[in-house]
Amino acid sequence: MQNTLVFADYISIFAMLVATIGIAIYFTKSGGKDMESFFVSGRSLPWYAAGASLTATSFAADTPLWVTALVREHGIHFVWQFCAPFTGAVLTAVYFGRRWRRMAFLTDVELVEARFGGGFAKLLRGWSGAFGALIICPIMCGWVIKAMETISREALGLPPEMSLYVTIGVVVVAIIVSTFGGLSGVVYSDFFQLIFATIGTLLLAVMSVWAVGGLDVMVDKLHGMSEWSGNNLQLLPSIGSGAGQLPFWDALTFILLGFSIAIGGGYNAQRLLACKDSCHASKAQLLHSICYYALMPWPWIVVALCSMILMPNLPVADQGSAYPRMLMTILPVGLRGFLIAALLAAFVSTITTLFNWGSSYLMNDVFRRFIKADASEHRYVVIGRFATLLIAVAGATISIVADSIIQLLTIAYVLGSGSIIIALAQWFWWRMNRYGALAGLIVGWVVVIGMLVFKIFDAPMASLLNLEDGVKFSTAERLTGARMLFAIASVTSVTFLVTLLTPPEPMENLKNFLHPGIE
Amino acid sequence: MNEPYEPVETFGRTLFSWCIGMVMVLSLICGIGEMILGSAVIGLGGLVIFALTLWWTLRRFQEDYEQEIKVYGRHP
Repeated sequence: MQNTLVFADYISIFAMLVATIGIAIYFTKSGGKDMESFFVSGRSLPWYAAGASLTATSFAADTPLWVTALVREHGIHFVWQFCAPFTGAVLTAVYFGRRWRRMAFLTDVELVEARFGGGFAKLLRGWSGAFGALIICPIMCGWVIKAMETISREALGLPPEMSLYVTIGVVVVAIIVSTFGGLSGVVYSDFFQLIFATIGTLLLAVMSVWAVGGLDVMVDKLHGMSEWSGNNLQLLPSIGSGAGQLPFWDALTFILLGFSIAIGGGYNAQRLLACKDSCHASKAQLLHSICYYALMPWPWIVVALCSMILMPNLPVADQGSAYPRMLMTILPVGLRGFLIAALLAAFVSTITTLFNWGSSYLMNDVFRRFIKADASEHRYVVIGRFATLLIAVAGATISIVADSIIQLLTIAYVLGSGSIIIALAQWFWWRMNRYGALAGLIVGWVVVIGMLVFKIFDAPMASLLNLEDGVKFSTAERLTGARMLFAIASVTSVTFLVTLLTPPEPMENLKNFLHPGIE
Repeated sequence: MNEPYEPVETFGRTLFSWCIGMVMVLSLICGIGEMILGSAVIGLGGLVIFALTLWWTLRRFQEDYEQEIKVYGRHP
């Protein structure tokens, strides 16, 4: 795609980046008072800021491209792959959000130590923190940076070396935001970026509809596309193995992913922990559930539908690129920069969160817990800023080899979903104890590595699931849900069995976990 | 094993709130979809259901919060 941006486009992009830096610098002092200010905004966030920040963070720069590809390849009902986690997000709004905030931890992995107690729980907390900060976060950063590089090449039409420089420039802005402003800088720049991104995507949707002649014309033309499986414009998913249907295992995958979001850990929990009180935490999560899963996809879907009319013949592997192509085709020069700035804003909001979140694990659950427990708050913040930089550098380095380490992320996802029932049980089933949790952790790793790396379950599962020749249980994309279910069954059964055969946690531990400090 | 404290929210109450919340988001997704691509009347119906369930959910949040403060006191 050719670069057709003009001076006014560059002004929009530059203005967005400068405003983002300005917001972060504004929060440098208040966000750097102590660890609590730097990582949970001094627990002062109102619901609308936390909810908007959650939405902005979830909205990655390549999300519109993914939704566009789903609509173009299969039809609107496949966007349920994107929307499915709303079930879990709502459960977090009505239950877990309040509970997280009541715990008043600094990070979600602190929960393990509070729930189980003892040396094992301390080690598990350290392990989870280090794994999250040094493995998961940098990999996610690397993946997001790589996606941004692709988008800047597609949307800006820049040659590869130039798109690399643009990506580096935007990553530097993200580093400044997360290093200076702490979580407050990240959240309030997210708030600004979400407004920017929403206006941009709405603008493109309205102009796309205008370009095809209005909504009625769009709907008529789409109904007439007999060769396209989504021409009935069906909204609800149809599960089955027929053409245009959502395969059973895919549906299961997305339901399971939704539930793993239900426990609201990770950066989601960080926002809820930073809210003013538990009511604000519930409302923040509700705002996120409504905005991200119900409102935000529609402008992307409309652009994808219009692109079916205006550019129906894109290569199968290139369906997602219809979104940046529409941007460059539909919008007049001057406005293109605004939407590109909106996509950059989506990227910055995602990456700044990853930087701050990873650094919170490193500081709270590794450095302060195991290395130096009695340093001054000022010193923790200074080291926290360096930790943020470390995560950023690790993420940028990983983006170079993102393709070859994708399996590590897959392992982490399957492992995470394998522990869903356990993660829920630790909130609801008071009988669950540290021995069960340890057994579940070990079995989870053994099963997932055996399944994905050594592929020891391929032969038995091929006969159990009656798989066709050449379809491998360990690698087939449509069997992701089956792999998750297998991991869940293994981890849950062992954890429950070991728990029931060993003594329960002392009641004092449980009381302290449920409400620290209450007499 | 009993709960360490009498919970503010019972399992049934949480389950009901969850179901109402899911109806809320679903009605908004389908309401907007119908407004854009299908029948405006059905779409409007979806938006009305969304508004009612949102009002109910926000009211329940406030009730839960007040009950929580009564049982546990102010949290950290």
